[in-house]
Amino acid sequence: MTRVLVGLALIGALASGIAAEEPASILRPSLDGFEPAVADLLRSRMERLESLAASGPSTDELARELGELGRLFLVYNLPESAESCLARAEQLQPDEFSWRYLRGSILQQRGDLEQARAVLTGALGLEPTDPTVQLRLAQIEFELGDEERAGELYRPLAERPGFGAAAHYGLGRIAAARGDLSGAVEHFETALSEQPQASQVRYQLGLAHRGLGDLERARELLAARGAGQLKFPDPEMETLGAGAVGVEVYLADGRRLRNRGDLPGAVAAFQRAIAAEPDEPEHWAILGATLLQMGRVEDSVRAYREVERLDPTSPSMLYNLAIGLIRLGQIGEAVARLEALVAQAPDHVDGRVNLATLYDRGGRPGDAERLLTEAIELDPYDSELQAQRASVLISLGRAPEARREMVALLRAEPDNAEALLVLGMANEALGSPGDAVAAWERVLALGVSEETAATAHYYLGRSLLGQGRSEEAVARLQRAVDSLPANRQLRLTLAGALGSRGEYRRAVEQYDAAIASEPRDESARFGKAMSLLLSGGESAASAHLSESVELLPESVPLKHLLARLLATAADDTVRDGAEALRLAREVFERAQTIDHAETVAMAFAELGRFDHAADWQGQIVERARATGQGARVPALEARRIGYQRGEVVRAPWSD
Amino acid sequence: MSRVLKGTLLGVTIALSVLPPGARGEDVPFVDRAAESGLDFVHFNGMSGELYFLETMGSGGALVDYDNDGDLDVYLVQGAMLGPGKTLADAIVPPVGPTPPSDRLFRNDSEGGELVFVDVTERSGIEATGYGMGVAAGDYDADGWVDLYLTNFGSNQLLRNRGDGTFEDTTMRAGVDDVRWTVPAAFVDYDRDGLLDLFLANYVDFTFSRRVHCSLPTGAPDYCAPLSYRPVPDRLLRNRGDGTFEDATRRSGIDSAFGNGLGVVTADFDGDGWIDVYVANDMMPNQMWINQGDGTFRDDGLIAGSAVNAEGQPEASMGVVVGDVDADGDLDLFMTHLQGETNTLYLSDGQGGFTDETRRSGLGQASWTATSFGTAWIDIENDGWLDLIVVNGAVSTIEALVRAGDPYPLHQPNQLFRNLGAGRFEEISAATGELFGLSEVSRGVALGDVDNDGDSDVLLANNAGPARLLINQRGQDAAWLGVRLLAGSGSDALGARVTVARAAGTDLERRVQVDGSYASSSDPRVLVGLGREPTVDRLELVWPDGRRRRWIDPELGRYAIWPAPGAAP
Repeated sequence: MTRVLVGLALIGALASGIAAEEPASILRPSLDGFEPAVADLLRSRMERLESLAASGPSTDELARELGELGRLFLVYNLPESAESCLARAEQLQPDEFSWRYLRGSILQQRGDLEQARAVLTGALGLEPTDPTVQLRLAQIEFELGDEERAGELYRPLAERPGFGAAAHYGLGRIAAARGDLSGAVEHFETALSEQPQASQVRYQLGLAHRGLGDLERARELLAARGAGQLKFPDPEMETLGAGAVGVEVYLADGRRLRNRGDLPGAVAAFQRAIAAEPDEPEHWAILGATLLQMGRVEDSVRAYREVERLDPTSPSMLYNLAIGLIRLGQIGEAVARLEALVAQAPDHVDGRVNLATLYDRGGRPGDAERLLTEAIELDPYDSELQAQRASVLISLGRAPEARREMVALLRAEPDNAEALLVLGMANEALGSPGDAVAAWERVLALGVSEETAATAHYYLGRSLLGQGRSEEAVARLQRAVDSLPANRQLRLTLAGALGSRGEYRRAVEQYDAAIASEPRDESARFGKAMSLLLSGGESAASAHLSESVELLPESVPLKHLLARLLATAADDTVRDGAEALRLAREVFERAQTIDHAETVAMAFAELGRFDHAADWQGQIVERARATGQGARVPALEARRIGYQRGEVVRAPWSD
Repeated sequence: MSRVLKGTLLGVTIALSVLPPGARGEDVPFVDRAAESGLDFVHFNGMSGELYFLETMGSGGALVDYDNDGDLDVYLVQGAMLGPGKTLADAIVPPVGPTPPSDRLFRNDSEGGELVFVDVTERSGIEATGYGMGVAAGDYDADGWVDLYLTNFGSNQLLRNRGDGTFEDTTMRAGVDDVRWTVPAAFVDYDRDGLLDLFLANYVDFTFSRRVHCSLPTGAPDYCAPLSYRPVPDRLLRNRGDGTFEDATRRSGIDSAFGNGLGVVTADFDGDGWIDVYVANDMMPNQMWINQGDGTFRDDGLIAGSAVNAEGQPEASMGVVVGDVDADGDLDLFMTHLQGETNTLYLSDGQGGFTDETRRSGLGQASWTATSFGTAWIDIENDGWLDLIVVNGAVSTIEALVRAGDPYPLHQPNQLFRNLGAGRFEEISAATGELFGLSEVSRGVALGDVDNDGDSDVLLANNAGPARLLINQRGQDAAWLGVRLLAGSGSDALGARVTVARAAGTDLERRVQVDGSYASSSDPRVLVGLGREPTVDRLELVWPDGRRRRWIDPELGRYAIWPAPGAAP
C-alpha cells in the first residue's frame, strides 16, 4: 500500500507533540479524473490539513480536521483514505466516539471483521448504551460465529424504538442457525411486522418454513422476497454527506433517497445535479424517471423534453418520453417518439411493442403486425409477444392463422394463459363461441393472477352478451370489475351490459366510478348521460351534460347530446331552445351529419320557427336519399311534415 | 446392473508416462511451468482507455485431449481490439504473439519428463478471431473426438474435431450460433439420449452504440456494473444426432427465467438420475434448473435455497463449481462474487435443498476484499478432501492501485484454501509461495492432470496477462486412482458418477465433469486422492443413463479407462 505523507510540517507537528512511534500519514487519493468541483474541494481540504498541521495546532484541532476529512473521503467512496484519516484522528483523540465508530463501520463494510470488532468494541466503551454500535457489533459477532455474544447484544435492542426489527431479524438468524426454526419464525415475523417494507426478511422466513416442512408457505414467502433492507437509525453515517459537493454526490444522494422512498427529497437532489450540470441529459432523465414514479406525469414529460433537447436520439429518453405522453393521452406525439426510437434502436423490443399497441388501437393493425413480427424475431422466446401478434392478426381478419399459432404455442406451453385468451378470441372470431368459452374457462382453471382472471371474465362476459345471455354476462363482468376496480374499460363494458338489461341505476354507478378515476373520459360521460336519459332523469342528465361540455368543450358527442336534450326534453324546466340551437349549429359546423342537422331542425322547432325547421328537414331528406340512406327517409319525411304542421319533437331517443 | 465384475477384466487399465516431479519446493504446492513449456499465450483485452465494460470480462481456457493421445492439450481464448474504428495501434497494452490476436491451441508433446507444448493453432485450421469469452469441450457428434464450442461477444463458434488434428467450423450447419454476448457454455445430455446437448448462458445486451458511461462518486470514470444493461435470455440447444441442434429453450421452460449469466454447471442436484443445470448470474438471482425427466426444467433456485445468499440478496455470481466438499455423498455448490460480497458456499442436504454455510465455512471473510472469477475444487495433496482455488481480479478500479498510478488498476492476488473437513476451510495462500502472491487480473481456471503424474494441475487464464500453468508439486506423493469413463460412442461420459468405497473413512463421491469454473473446460478424467494409507474396497461407477458397474480392488496409481457397459472395450 502506498502511503503518501501529508507534508513535512504535519510530520513535525505529530512527531514533536503527539506520537512518534508511528508514521503520521494519510492515504491521499489521486485526484486524476475527478469532477473539478470534487477535486477542488478535496485538494483544499487536504491543503487546509497541511496548513493546520504546520501551525502547531492542539491535538483536538488536528484530530477534528483529520476526522472531518475522513468523513469527506467516505462520502466519495474512498474508504482507504477515509480509514487512514480516521485511524489517525482516533489515535490523537481516543475519547472521540465518532472516529472509532466510523472506522469500525468502514472495516465492517470491508469485511475485516476482526478489526472491526476491536474498533467498535472501543467505541462501545465510550458510549456503552449507543444502540447503533451495539447493533453493528452484534452483526459482526454473528458473522464471526459467536452467536452467544451476538444474542446478548441483540436482545436489549429488540425493545429499542427503531432497532427492534433489525434486532429480531438478528435473533431469528441465531435461532435458525441453532435449528430452532419455530423460534426463528417468530423473530422474523416480528421483524417483518415492524418493518413491512423489509422484504429481505421474507427470504429467511421462507427458509425457516421450508425447514419446518411447510413448503407452500415457504414458496409464497420466497416469491415475495425482495431487496427491501432492514433500516435502523445511524446518525453518524446519515450525516456524512453534509458539505459534500459534486454531481455524483447529488446523484448518489438522490438515488439513496429514492430507494428509501423519499421521492421529493430525491427530486431535490437531482435538481441540484441539474443546477451543477444543466446540459447533462442523464440528470434530466433520472429526474424525469423519479417524477414519473411520483405520478407527476406532466413534470416528468417536461424533464424528458429537456433530455430530448440535449440528446435527441437517446433511446431511453424516446421510450420514457413516449410512455409519459401516452399517460397524458398525447398519443400522436407518443407515436412520433416511438417511431424515432424504432428507427434509432431497431432492437428495442419494448419500443416496438408499445408502438405496435398504439398502431393497433389507432386503427393500423397491419403496421402493428409488422412491428410485432420483427419484435418476435428479436426475442423469439417471449410468448406474450406472440400472443399479442396473434390478437392483432384477428383484427386483421386472419383469425385462422392466429388460432394456428396459439395452438402451436399451447402445445409447447399448455398453461400459457395469454395464448389461451387469444385462442378464445380467435375461436370467437371464427364463429365458435363454445370453443372460445372453453379456452377462457381454462384460463380461470389455471389459478392465474387477478389481472389475467379479470381479462378472462371480461371476454366471457362480452361473449355472453353477444349471445343475449345478459344476466350471466353481467355476473362475469362484475367479477372482472371486482378484480380490477381501477380498469375503466371493464367498468364501461359492465355499464353497457347493465344498460342493455335496463338496469340504468347500476349502470350510472359504474359510469360514475369510471369518471371518478378519469374525469375527462368522454365515453363514460356520454354513457352516464344516456343512462340518465333512458331512466327518465332529464334534469340530472342536463346538469351532467352541461358540466361535461364545460370540461370537454371539444367533445362533439357530448355537445350534440346536450343540444338534442335541450331541444326536445319532455321536462319544461330542462328545455332551452336558444341554447339548443347555438350548440346544434356548433356541432353541425364541426361535422355535417344527418343526425346533427336533425338536431338543428329540432331546435328551430322548439323556438317556434317551424318554417326553418321544415326547410332544414327537407334538405335532410334529400341528403339521406342522395347518400344511400333511403331506409331513414320515411321517418325523416314524417318529421318534416310534423314541422309543417307546427309540431315540436318530444321523443328524441326513439331512434 | 448388479453383477460384480473384476475391474481389470473389463476396464482397460493403461499406464501413462509419469513425469518426474522436477524441482519441488518443500512447501510450494504449485510451480508455474507455462513459459518454460512453450505455453507463451498472453491475453489481449483490446482496451484503449474507453473503459468498455466488456474488456474486463475475458477469458477462459480448456484442458482437453483433442488428439486422443492420452495427455491434456491446452486451448486458450483470446480477445480482440474493442470499439468502433479502433485498431491495434489504439491498444493501451499491445498484443503479444500472433496478430490479429486469436485463440490458440497448444498440443501437449511432453516426453521423458519434460513438459512441452507446441502451438498447433495454424495447422489445426482453427480460426477464432472474435472477442472470445470462453470454451466448452464435448464430443457432440459422438465420433470419439472431442469438439469445442467457443463463446464470444458476438457470434459463437462450434469447432468439430475431424480426428486428424484439424477442426472445421460447423456453427452454421449445426445451428448453434448465438450472436448475443455468451460467456459460459456447457455440453450436457439432459434428455439422456446419449447425445450431448448444449446450454448457453448469455450475459447482457451491451453494444457499443448504446454504451452507458459510468462514474465513481468522485466523478472519475469507471467501468459499469452489469445492471447498467439488460440481461439476455439463456438457450438450450438439443442435439438431434444428425450434426444439427434444435432450439429447445422454450419447450424446456428454460426461457421462463434468466439473468446476467456468467457461470454454468451441470449436475444431478436432487439425485433423481437426471442432470440439472445451475446458472450463476451477475447481480441477479441464480437459477437451479431441475430436470423433470420429460424434456422440461423447473427453476427451484429459491425454494432450494441456492438462488440468493443468506440475506436473501442476489450476488454478483461469476464462477461456479460443484463437488462433495463435506464428503457426505451429495453435491455442494460454491460460487465466486464481487468485492464487498463474500464468495458463497451452499451445502446440500442431499434432497435438493441447500443452505448458505459461508459464514461457518471460513470462505466468507477471506473473499470480501477480492472480486473472484474462476474457481475449482482441487485435492492439492491427494488426501481425499477437496481444497479450493479461487482466482481474482476486480471489475472496477481499486482505490489503492489508482493512487499508485497503475494503468490497469484491477489486479488482485489469487487464493488457495485447504479443506479442514465438515465444510470448513482455511486460507493457505500466504504459505504457498510466490504464485499466490502475484497480483493479476485472473479469470478462467481449468483443472487437469497435465503431466499425468496423478494429481491435479491448474490452467489459469489471465485478462491482459500471461496464461499460467500451475503444476502440482504435492499430490503425487499420496496414493491416487484415476478413471476415464466413456459413453457408448467412445466419448467422455459427462455427468457419470464415481463412488470410492473405503474401508476406513467415508465414501468419496466424484463426477465426470468438465464444466463449471468460469468460461473454462476441465479434464474429463476423475482423479481421486486417497491419502497416505489408502483403503479402497471398490469403485461404483454410474453412467448418466443409469447403467452401473462395480470395480473391486481397483488398481491405484493408474488411469483406467472404462467403456460404457455393453460397449466394446
